[in-house]
Amino acid sequence: MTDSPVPGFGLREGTARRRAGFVLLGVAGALLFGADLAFGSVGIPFAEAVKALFGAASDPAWNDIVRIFRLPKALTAASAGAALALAGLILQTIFRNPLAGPDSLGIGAGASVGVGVVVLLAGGSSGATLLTGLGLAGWAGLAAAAAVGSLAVLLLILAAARRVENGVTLLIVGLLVGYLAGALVSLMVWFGSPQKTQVFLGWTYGSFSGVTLERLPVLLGAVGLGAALTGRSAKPLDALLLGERYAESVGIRVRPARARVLVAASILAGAVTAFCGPIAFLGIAAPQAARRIFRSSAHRVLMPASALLGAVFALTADVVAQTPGGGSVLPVNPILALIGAPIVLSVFLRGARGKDPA
Amino acid sequence: MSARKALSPRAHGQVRLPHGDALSPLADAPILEATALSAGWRHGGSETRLLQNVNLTLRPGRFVALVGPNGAGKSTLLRTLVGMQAPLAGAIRLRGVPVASLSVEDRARLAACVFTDRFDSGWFTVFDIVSFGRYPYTDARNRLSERDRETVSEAIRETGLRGFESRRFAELSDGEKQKALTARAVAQDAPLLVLDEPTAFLDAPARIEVFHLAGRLARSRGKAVIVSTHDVDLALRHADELWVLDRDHAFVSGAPESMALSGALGRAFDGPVVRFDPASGAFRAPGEPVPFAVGISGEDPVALGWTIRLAERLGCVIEPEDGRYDAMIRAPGAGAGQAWELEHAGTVTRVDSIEDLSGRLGLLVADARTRGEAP
Repeated sequence: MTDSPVPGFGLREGTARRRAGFVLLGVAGALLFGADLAFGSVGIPFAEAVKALFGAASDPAWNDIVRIFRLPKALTAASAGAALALAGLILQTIFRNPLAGPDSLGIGAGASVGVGVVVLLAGGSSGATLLTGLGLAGWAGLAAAAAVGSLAVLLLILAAARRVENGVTLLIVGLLVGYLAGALVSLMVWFGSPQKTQVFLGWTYGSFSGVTLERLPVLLGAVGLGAALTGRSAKPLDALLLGERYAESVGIRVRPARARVLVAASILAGAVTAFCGPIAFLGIAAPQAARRIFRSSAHRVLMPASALLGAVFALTADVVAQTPGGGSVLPVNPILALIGAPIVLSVFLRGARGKDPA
Repeated sequence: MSARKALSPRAHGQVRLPHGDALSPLADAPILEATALSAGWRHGGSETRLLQNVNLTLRPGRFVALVGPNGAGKSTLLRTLVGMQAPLAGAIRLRGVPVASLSVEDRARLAACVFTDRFDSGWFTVFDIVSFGRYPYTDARNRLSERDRETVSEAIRETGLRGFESRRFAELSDGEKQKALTARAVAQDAPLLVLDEPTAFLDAPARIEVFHLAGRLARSRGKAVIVSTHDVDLALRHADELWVLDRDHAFVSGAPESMALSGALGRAFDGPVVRFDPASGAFRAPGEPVPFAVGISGEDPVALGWTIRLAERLGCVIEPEDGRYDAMIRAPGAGAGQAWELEHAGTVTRVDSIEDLSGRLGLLVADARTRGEAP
């Protein structure tokens, strides 16, 4: 029995296209990463910004700016984008709905409740210093709370999905659960102290710049854990595209497989939401774009492709947010909506025409 | 690896005669057995029994059609037999092993299923869809070995889809999709093949193809095949055996002809309007009887047959026992000038086409009907 080196499944045609796609996305990601280091309130030439990574920039101040502020920000943007894209891919497969995503199913809202509980209700008297003064363990706790909030919403949606077959109905359920979570957050804000509330509201705008070099390992660790859990699930996820009964009939233990990827999605979406606030559209749009570009439905292709595209989208948004120059920095959410909404819209319209697969 | 070998049907690949008359008695051991089986749903403390005390045996090389009216429990029985739903009582054995004790993977190697579930196949090609059948054999990364690829290609050939390998599954016609899904089940290399209503969305030729394929898989591959279907007439013509579930959830099995003759099919399907007609093996909705009796004769059996069908469709009483005819029809012979003779009230009319005959006979029948209703 000889295992052929080339995986045959889901990779029959267009191998060259796929290879080119990964190379192009990799190059684009690297360039955007460099641009994210170079752009900002202090403009640094691209080459110098890259040199500054190794402490070799001609201006020593640039070394500090890049290594202390911009590198964590770029790494946060890239990993958050990848994580949300993977979470979106998982949700779209599990719910068999191309419009599912961390935000459209109210999972980001669930994470917000988790964060709200920690920031607004728990914590000591010093609200204003809560986020800034939180230790590493505190941040890990925050991420865990957000993941738990995400998982709670996910389980709720999953229970609803067993009753409603219709994909659009499911999105409406997600919307309502999102409102419910939003209401909880509003109530917590109402009863929270003004300082705490201000910190919390600042968080809800969504930003990649809040993660310092020290906290970065917590985010990267959580994203790495979620990605590792996801990466091992390509086989069951492919089968789940055919539905639970087919998956079971070809020997997949559906419940544990589904539980594993849903926990992974909660960790991914929860951690990113805890550190960056609710980030819209990325989770839906990146897997969509990945399917379109790579012309594949196989998760072994879609996982790296979605993660790369998510990182590219997030870095693009972050770079665009800096470019107006001067001190003002745009929030990333509107920029992501500008990239993501047209993609999602085109998917929706194509789906309605029954043309290309989503 | 060892489990794979032990369970692979190839390990038992005997030369066999049609209808599963295997040369070796061992190879003819039942693939599926159910004893005193009750199936249905359990919710909380209460049970809904759809089927009670079902006993059945299925041997390699046999093609069984499962028929019964909607809601009789066909899908429940199939799901229960392959271990996807726990039975309420009784025992099920796959290749002699209690199905409840089998792991999901082992079950997948013993029974391959095609459901009616629709799914978004995205960019998956026919090859991709069929290679899902290799899931129980591939590693965690789902890499296909040379042998896996061969099995997939063979299954694609077997179902007549050669050349469709890199077509997108979503672009296929419903009939081709059904073939690809069947190929997927064939690629699963399981001795038991279960197709749940495979003809549901298909046109007439594609339906027949499905039955033909199921029969071929049973005879040439030695598989035990169960097809649940609403196409009773096709089942009667193609299956080796019929499993009949009726509205009261009773289970009967036997040769298709015996199910028709014994009245089992009638008991299962007959309703206030539609009845199973054992003489023709088809369902009929006999209208209000019309007091108009015809006698029909003719030399060409085809022309005669269609003339009888015309009279039946119009509601005539054919060949009454008391021998009193309102009209006589003579169908044309094979070589003759294609003319029908209609004798009514002492006059013989020659009509050149069955179309004309239909018009004239229709008028007579309508007339008789109004006269019958008048008093």
